[in-house]
Amino acid sequence: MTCGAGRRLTDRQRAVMERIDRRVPIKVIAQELGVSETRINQHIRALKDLYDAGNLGDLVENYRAVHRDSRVELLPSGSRDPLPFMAPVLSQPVGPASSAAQPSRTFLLGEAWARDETGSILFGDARPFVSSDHQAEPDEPQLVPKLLDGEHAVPFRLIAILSISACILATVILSVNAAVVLSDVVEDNTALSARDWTAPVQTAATADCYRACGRAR
Amino acid sequence: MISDFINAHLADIQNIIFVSLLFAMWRWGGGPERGLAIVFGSTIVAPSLVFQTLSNDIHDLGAFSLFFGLADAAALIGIFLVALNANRTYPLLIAAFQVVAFSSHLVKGSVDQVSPGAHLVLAAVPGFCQVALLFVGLSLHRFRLSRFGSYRDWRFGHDFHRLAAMLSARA
Repeated sequence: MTCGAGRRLTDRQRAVMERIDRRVPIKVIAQELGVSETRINQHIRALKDLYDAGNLGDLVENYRAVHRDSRVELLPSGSRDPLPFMAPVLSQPVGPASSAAQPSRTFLLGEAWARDETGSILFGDARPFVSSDHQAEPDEPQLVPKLLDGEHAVPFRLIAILSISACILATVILSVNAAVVLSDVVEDNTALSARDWTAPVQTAATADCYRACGRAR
Repeated sequence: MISDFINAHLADIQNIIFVSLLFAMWRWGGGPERGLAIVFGSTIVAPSLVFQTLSNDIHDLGAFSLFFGLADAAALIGIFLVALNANRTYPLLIAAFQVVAFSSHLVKGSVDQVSPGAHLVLAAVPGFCQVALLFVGLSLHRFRLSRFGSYRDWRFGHDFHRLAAMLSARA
């Protein structure tokens, strides 16, 4: 999997990628950046090509894999480490010093931890810390009603299933009954109209004949 | 000619379409889609294959009615397991249709006046609706993935973490 690590992103691509990483919907990205959704989709297509991703999920994974190893500036020597229990994983010092007064070194600090220029810890990805939180991410689509989501959703879901099945059965029964009644009505109408067609022209002789026939029956 | 071919091989065409759908659900679906694929594959496709292997005569369906009833009962349990825990809406509809199909077996077993034709309609027709719902559910899942990226497969607070993790793991 080539992750596009060696390719540079434009400012706009970076802005789009950061928002996709935070699960911001495309419509909101377009509004925030002041461009159309079509333009955002074009950026996403370009990002997918850069990161060799087939869908948004793979794009986020590949993007995070590339940027997982955050190389940040350590505090200048002599300053107190606010979190002494954070033992950084040392790597070879890379890069020239940023300035002559403050020679700096870069270290790998692990997957989810990084520091900004003041030494404060930045949460690159807070996902591991919210996995037990029973609240959906703000950008996640809501697929089921809130009543059917959560720890106590089972009884409500059972009620929903039984209600839907009762509606299905009622619909089937009503449809069959309606079809039977309609077919009876249509058959009666057909018999009535057939009788009207075969009735001959009434004359005195035929009327006498019908009376005689009717009496015989 | 095409219509004659279709009429002659309608059952085979339906089986091919159904198996293709189950494969697509396993390959491109999320956790609930894979769970439903396992349930439908093991409780509907497998019994049909068993029936076709042992006796392909439609008149022998009555002898296998208990077997198909048990298969529907197993499908009911599996579909309920998915429907009660998935972060989806369409499994609830699939479960409702399965309740209708299973209840037809119960009624046929307890009431003698039920005609075999009515029992067959109530037991078989929900299956077609379920197949349509599976297709719609998978399509909507792919659409949401392309629009929003990955999202939860299961509701909060369920108790099947290991099974859910296995079903939701990427291939």
